[in-house]
Amino acid sequence: MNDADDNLNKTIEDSLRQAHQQVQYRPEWASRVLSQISSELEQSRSVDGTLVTLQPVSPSPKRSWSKVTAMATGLAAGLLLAAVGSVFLARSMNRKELDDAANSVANNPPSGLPTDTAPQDASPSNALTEPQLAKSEELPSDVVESDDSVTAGAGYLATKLSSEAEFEIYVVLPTMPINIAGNTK
Amino acid sequence: MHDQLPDHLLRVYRFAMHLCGDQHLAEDLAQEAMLRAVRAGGRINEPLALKIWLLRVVENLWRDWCRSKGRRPVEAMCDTEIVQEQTEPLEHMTQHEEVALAVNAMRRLPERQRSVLHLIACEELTVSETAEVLQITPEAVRSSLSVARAQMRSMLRPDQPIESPHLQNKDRAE
Repeated sequence: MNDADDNLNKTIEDSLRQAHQQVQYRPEWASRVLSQISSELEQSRSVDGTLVTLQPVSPSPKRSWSKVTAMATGLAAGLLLAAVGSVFLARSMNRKELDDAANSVANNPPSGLPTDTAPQDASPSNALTEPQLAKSEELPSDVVESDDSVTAGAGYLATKLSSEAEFEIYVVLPTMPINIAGNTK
Repeated sequence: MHDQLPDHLLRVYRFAMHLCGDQHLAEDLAQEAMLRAVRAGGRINEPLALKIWLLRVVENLWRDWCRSKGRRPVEAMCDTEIVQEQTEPLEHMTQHEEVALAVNAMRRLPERQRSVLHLIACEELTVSETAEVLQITPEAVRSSLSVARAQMRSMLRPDQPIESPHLQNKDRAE
């Protein structure tokens, strides 16, 4: 390609550029399009705002209080079950002790009691009488105290642990698990 | 990005007019392209990228319109049908006549050559930017531009021999 071709290309493309710049749109059409663009922009911005408001924000104080309430309820239920379990355990221990005493009395009757029957034929008359059993089944006063049931149960257990070599312990745990967030499952 | 949209409206309209040559259809194409740019949101931030993106959307809309009407984009003439009606040398014409002749000559170019010449000469895009708009390779842009310029010279200067490789091969075959 020579210089003449280059010059002609330049002349042609200058002419095309001039023609291109003479093309103008109708002003009413342009204003209509621009107003439509503005309208679309406003709509898109309002949609964006809605999206922002739909996004989750920090938890409200009401929800926090509900969590605290759930945690407190769970703890209270756990303490109540522990107290009931302690009382039940204390009663079971005492009943076992009474049964042992009754067996001991039946096999080795006291000297003041009638011995007309053989020891191996121990009849109910050789056992403790009903009033004696009823009296012996009564719980110690420190266990029965309802106000201090937990403390009493713990004291009773400590005494038994220190005095007896073999001792069975039944622990009743709360059946309602509590997670860290305080939600009950 | 949205602040730049009004600046692109005239460019988009002119390109649509170049493609279809009809005022109302060009308005529809340009309007749809601008609204699509708004809906695209902040995905296009660079002004040059927005310019290319808008021109490309207009091109696609034009092709979709042609497809929906069952029409091919108008091809005024093929490479072998160069109409040589210009007899007076270009240098002897007035500027207004030169412009009119150049526009008429460009309308006779096949669509791709016309678009390549328009984007490079009028929109002053680079070869790679033109390739992006028309979704063709830069080599195809260079080839189309070379052939378009040769044909424009031939139409506007009758004594100018055609240098199109395609035509030279065709002549050799004949």
